[in-house]
Amino acid sequence: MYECRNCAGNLKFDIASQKLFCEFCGTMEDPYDVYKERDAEESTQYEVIVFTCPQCGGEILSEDTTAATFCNFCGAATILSSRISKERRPHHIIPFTKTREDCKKAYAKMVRRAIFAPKELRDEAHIEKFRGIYMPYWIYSFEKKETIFFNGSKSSQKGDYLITRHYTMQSNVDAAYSGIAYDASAAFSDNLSGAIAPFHLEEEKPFTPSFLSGFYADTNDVDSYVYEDEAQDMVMEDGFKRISKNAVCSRFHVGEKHGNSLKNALQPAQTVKELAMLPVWFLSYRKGDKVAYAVVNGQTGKAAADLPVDVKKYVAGSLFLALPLFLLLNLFFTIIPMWLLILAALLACICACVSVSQLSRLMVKESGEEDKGYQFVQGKSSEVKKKRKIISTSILITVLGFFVPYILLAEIFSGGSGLVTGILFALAASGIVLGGSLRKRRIPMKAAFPVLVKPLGAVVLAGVILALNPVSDLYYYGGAVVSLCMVIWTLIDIIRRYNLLTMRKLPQFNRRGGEV
Amino acid sequence: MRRIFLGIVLFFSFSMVCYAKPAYVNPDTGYQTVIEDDAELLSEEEEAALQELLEEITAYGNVAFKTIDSNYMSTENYARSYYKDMFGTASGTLFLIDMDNRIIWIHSDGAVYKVITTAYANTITDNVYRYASDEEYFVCAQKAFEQMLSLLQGQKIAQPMKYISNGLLAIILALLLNYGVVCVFAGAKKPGKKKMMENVPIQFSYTKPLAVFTHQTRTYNPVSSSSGGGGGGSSGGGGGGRSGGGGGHRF
Repeated sequence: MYECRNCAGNLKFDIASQKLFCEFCGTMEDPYDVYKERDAEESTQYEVIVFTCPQCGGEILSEDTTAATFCNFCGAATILSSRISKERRPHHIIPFTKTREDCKKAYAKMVRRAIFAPKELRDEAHIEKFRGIYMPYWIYSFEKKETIFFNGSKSSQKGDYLITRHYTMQSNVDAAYSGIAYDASAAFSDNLSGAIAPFHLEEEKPFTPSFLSGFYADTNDVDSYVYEDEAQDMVMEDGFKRISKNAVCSRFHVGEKHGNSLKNALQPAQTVKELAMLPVWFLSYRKGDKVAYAVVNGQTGKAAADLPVDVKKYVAGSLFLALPLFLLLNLFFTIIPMWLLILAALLACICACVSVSQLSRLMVKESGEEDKGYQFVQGKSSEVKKKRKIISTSILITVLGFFVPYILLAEIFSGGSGLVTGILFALAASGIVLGGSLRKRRIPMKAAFPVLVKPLGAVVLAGVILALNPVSDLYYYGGAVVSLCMVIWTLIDIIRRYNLLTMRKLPQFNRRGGEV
Repeated sequence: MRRIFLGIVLFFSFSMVCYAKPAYVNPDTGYQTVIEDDAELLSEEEEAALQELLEEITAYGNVAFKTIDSNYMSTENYARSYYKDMFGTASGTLFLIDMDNRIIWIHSDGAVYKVITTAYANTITDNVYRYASDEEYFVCAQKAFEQMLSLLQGQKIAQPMKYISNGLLAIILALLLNYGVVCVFAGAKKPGKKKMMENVPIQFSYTKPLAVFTHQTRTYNPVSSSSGGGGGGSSGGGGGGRSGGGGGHRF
């Protein structure tokens, strides 16, 4: 706590004046003029109170001795245990410039668009829980000021031989990239921190702990090397794009044939990694064993949030929208039973593709592959596996690729008699492609079966009826109605899965206090 | 050879059509009725009863009832050709029972086609095909013409399955559209590398690259000797304009 010189009240950082303010006597102080002895600038550490959540082990730092009554990270309403600790002193800080009111406005504007979000997200009492937190970020800066050498070549055909002339290319590069920011907290997901970027780092100030007064700060538990390679790769890629566009490089096929040589040559000579505290307004919404976060950039006011869907609202909204669609369809659309069944099968195929894509993303999310910082804290390898390729679109293209040409060919060459065969062939092909996709994405059948049983059941039912080709429409209509009901059920499952993707598991940090 | 044979058969079958005489000509409108029961599915009494119904339809257009027990083309094409030979492009409708392909078909043209559209032809044949399956051909034709008459008189016909299927499709479309809305306004997304770099202050300059020759390599790479033949141009005449249309159902 920083005491007021006049009345010994608690000085807190005031956003409007950018000064420390005593709410008892109105005294204002420059943050750099107020310090405790242990705040001495030459120290690499500073003393702070660490609050730990007894449920998830999440830690939050504060200069305020008042007990924190809820945990930001898991949403638990509980008295957080506190202790004094020495923390690594950041190099820089960007003080909050957006007030809680600004933050609430930005959040409300964003949530307004999310028409199916649960009403609790708009609740005033809930929004009041926005907490100003300084999030630790690693700020990487790179420099390269030297002559680089890379390969180039020119080829020409002479008779039956390809003659290639090899060159060493040489250029003096003077490059500086400053301020590539990555969050240094495992509790703060890369998605959220990325979504509220950028921060205007040119406005950063030297860190002094008094800036934290009245706010919280998150612990920096991710080492600087975790994101260093990624930041360096981006820099090298950018340099590569700039130089390979040069006419000389084009003439010597640098971009096409010698990309790696140029990229390696652009490896930064100097890397600076600095820890900075950046301002974020933070809010958590807990439902059952899931939690969703909303964040607002405390400097620019940019908002981002995990926006789950209220399934009841979604279904009600869809039924409401279905009314005009129903009237429109009745005006312009009459479909014969066979085509209705085919359409139902096609919709089921689309639902199966979406489900597989969701399942794959869900597995990636639950494994923490998307978040290097979280992986680091969980003690997993920081080497993030390459993101699984999302190929649901290619599945769809393949299905249509089989479906349309085959039907057309069957129509042209056999007067329409091959239609049903074509459809069955397409359905079987889509099954094979789907199976291949599951294998490629390493989705175990055990996980895929409950997800795919409904849409694939609809496809199989449609396939069987089409193969039997009964005269009576009742079979077609019956099959189509059952298949369409399966599709509706699958779509509601898709929304439920969307919520799993949007929300997060309750965090469990491998720290003291966490009930792992 | 098969084509020549088919051509001869078609020629003779349509020559027969030319001899089909209208059973009734509406004195007010000039539209006529034709009943040709080549497959002998109706009794004389049934034909007479059907004739009365068909006469009512002549207030709106020509009307024909045709049954066949052998057909070398698709039912749709047969119906189209038969209609053209009987009535040309004049307004009217035809109900055909093709015993060879076991398909019933409605073909309409002109002003009647604007009312008895392909969608309605499908709906009517869907509604009556069961009678044909039960060999109640008269009831099948009677119900079909009754429904056509209802439509021409501006009334509605029952389409329960259309409403059920359209209802389900509307719900699915709405769910899909709303899912699209949800995805578009989805919350936090990690920005790509390009987007991240846009916000990084960059100073980048370099001198024009200088190329210094180092060595030369030679790789055996025979030039392909294949030569591609040019594709012949082709031009096809456009097909004749089609009018009218219809729908049918197996039975």
